[in-house]
Amino acid sequence: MSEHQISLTVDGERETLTVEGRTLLVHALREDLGVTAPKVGCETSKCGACTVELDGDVVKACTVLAVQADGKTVRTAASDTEDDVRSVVTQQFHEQHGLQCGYCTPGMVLTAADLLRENPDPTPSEIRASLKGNICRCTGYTNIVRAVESAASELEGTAAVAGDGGKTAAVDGSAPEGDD
Amino acid sequence: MFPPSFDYHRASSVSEALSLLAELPDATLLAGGHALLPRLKNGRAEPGAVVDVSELPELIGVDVGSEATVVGAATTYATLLETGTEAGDADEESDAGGSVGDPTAGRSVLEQHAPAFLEATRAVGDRQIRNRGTVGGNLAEAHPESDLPAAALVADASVRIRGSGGEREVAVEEFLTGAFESAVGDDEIVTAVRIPHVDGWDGSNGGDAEENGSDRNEPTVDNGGAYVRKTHPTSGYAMVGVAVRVGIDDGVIASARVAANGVADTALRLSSVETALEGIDVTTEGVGERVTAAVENAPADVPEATRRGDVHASAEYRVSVLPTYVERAVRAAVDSTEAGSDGGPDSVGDSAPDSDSGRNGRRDQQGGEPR
Repeated sequence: MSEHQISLTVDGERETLTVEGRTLLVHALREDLGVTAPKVGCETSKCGACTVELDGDVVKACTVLAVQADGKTVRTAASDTEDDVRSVVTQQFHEQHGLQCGYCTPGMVLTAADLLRENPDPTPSEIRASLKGNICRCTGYTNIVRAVESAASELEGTAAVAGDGGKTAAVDGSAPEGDD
Repeated sequence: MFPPSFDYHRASSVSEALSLLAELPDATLLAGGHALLPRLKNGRAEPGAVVDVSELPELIGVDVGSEATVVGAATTYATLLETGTEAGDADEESDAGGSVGDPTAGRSVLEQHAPAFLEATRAVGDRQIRNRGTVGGNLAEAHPESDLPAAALVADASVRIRGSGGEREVAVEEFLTGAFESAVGDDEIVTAVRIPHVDGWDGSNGGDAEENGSDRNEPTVDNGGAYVRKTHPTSGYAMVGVAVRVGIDDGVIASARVAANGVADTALRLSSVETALEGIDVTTEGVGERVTAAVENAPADVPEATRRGDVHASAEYRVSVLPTYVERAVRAAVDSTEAGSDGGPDSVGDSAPDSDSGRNGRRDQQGGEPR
């Protein structure tokens, strides 16, 4: 069993801690650092409740070793943010009632924001495809898709997202397609 | 769920990783972690040491050459999709893609030469998994239901493996030796996946430009490809996944590569389907029926002894839906070619129930009932 001292930035705070080689990032964040926005869900990289940004990429923190985050920057859905995209997404999850119990929400918000940074004007089916790795047991997804669409409209023309959008807020409650 | 204890080592080079694998008892490699970490958690692996190669610069990157694209083994799916779809500088420098009226104009080198490989990469897991999982890790895992192996087969790809004795290159067909078994030894590392460029491909040798003497400045093949699958909604893996590459010459399918995931212990080529597809004129009436007839015998290409089934889907079921998915993949591949996209009298794709839009759309369908 190896132990490692690691340093990482979590939601803007510089943290140094000692972890075992086997410690998962999500456990280090929650148990060692008290950062509880990422949730422990399926622990098999299916549900996305543990989603965090690792050096800017959304990843599932149950399938990354804490020691692999040494020297990196982690951001969770709870971080204070100058990130307009995520602020707007979070606000729209509230406005559109894109959650019920809220357990999946931190992961949903991060993944949705990641989508909008890449594609500021996604179709409902692109939104659903992008959120494939985030499972919600409450909402039936309709309001989640609506929240992401509203966020895209809200962000249209702002500097926070690339491109000019040309977005129409076609709110669409169609059934999930294609994917699981 | 917690992984069992192990010693973690971050290798600083491939040579150091090879030394660590040789020195440490029960050492295993860690790259993207999406195969290893779940296995550690559910108790199916208990290594003494884990050697992390996920950040070795020599294993990361997409190198677009004139005759092949070499994808570093630790390149994530996301990085491959990002760099592999940039309309390539390499293309312009080699003056290969710019001719007037070139049907491939605007497509990146990989989009031209290995569209099915990109589609399969796009189909892997989900957004977060694609940010973390690696191309080399995928093939080394040799998961029979994973998306890349069939796509690697139709791309005529090969796998570079380094050991203490040096580097060797193994064709994907020989690399995949069984379910979760590959040609890479315990003390070796997959370093890259090589995808040959197929301009000049005449279907007889599946070779690349360097072998058949033509050059990429004169594309002779209208090349198309697709990957279509039936995903299990819980596992996320393909119960059936089909990759197709077609080369069309003067409206006729001159060459075809067809391979399937999920139906057998390893991804495998469907050679009788390939043969049956060759010679089909895709620009005339009745092409749909001809394709349907050509894929009918797909199950015969899957040897009984290797057929795969599980609690989610029996071997009988997988094989019975195989022709449907082969047909969809062939139609999508033909539609992605210049000849197929002309929208002739009987465009093969018209009846393909594609779930998503566009050439780059995902073709991950659930509706596929056997005919």
